[in-house]
Amino acid sequence: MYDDIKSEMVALVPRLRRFGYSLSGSRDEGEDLVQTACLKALGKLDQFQPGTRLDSWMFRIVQTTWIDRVRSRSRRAEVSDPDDFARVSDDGKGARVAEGRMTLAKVRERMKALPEDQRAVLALVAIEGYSYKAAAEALEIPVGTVMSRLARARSKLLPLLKENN
Amino acid sequence: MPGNLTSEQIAAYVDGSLDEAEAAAVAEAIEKDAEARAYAEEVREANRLLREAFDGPMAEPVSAELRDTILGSDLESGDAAPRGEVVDFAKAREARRPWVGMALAASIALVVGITSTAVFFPGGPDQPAPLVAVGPTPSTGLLHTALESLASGEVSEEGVQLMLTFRDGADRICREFELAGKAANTMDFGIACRGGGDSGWQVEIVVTGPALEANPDGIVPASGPAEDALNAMLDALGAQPALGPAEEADLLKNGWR
Repeated sequence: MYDDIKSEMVALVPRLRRFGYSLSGSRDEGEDLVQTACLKALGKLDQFQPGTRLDSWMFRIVQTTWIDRVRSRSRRAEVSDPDDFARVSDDGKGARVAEGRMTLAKVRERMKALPEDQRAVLALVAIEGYSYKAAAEALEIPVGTVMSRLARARSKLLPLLKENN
Repeated sequence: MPGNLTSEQIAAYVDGSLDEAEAAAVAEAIEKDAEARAYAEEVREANRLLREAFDGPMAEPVSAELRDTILGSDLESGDAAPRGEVVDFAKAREARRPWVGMALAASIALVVGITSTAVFFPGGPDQPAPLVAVGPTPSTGLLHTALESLASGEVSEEGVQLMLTFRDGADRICREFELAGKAANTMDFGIACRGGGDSGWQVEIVVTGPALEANPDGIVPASGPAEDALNAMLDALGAQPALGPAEEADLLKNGWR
C-alpha cells in the first residue's frame, strides 16, 4: 500500500532534513526530527489527501514534531543550550574562520535566535522557495500571519547582513 | 520604507509571491527607486545565505536504515504499528522521565500513607494486590482522576505520572502511566484505554518493576523487563504514534471524546 507516497517520501528526506536543521539549528537534531516525522507520517498515511502536496504535509509533521520537543523540554525546565543565544554575537572567532563560512555560521545563529514561529515561515519561504500561500497552507496559518512573521524575522536578520558587508 | 512601495511588497516580489500583474507593477516601481532596489537586493541576498547556511543535509545520502523504514513499512491505518514505532514511544517516555525522581519522592510517601487502598480495591487494605488492577478504573480512584485530568508529563499530587497518549488499532484513546508500586522501590507501569466500565477507562496492563531513579546527571536509565512488557502491549494494541500536546490538550478539554 502507498508505495508511490513512500517513494516520494524517501526522495523528500534531504529537504526534510534541511528543514529540520533550519528549525533546530542542529544537523543531528534535524536528522532525528525527520526520522520521527517519517514514522509519524507512516502511521497516518491514510490521512494524507492524494492530490495535495506531500512535501507540505511532511514539513508540517516535522514542524509539529519539533514544537512538541521544544515544549517537552521546557516542561522539563531544561535550560536551553546556552549556545542558543549567547553566540549571536561574534565572540572573536571571526579572525580564525574564512569570511564566507563565518557569515553562514552567523546566519545560522541569527536564525536560531528567532522565535519558533518566525523560523518555520522563513525556512519555508526563503529556503524552500514556498509561496506565501503555500507556506500558509503547510503551516495551517493565514497568509497575513505568514507575511507578518516574515517581516518580523527579516527585521532581525537583515541588519546582520548589513553589518557583515 | 522605500519609496511608494512597502517593504512587504518588495519582499513578496523577491519571494515570488505576487501574481503576474502585481509582480510586473512592483518590478517597474523598483526599477525607478534605488532604495527599493537596495532593499530587494538585501532580501534576495538573505534568502541566498539562508539556503546556503542550511544546505549541508541536501548532499547527504538517505541512510539505508531510514529508506528501509519508509519503504519497508507495510501498514494501513489500524494495522499493527510499524517497526521502529516502539523507539518513538521509548523516546516519548524518556522525555518525561526526569519528572520521575520528583514524583517518586512524593509518591513513596503517599504509598506509605495510603490506608484506603480501597480507592482501587473495594475489598479493603488486607487484600494483597498491586496498587492498580487490570480492568475498569473506579471513577473515584486517583488513577481515574489522573487519567482524566492530566496532560502527559504531569504528575498528580498522588504521584501518578502520565507518560503519553496514543490511539490503538481500534482507534481507542489510550494513556500510559506510571506510579510508585506497593513495595518499596518498585513502580507500576500501565496502560489504560477509553471504553471500559462506568468510569470510561479500562486498565489494559500493569507491570511492576524496579523504581526508576535518576542518576546524578538527571538521566533515568531505560527500564528493563517492565518496559519490554509495555512495548509488547503497545504492539498488541496496534498503538499508533503518540499524540502531540495540542491534540492531547483538545481531547483532555473534551473529556477524551
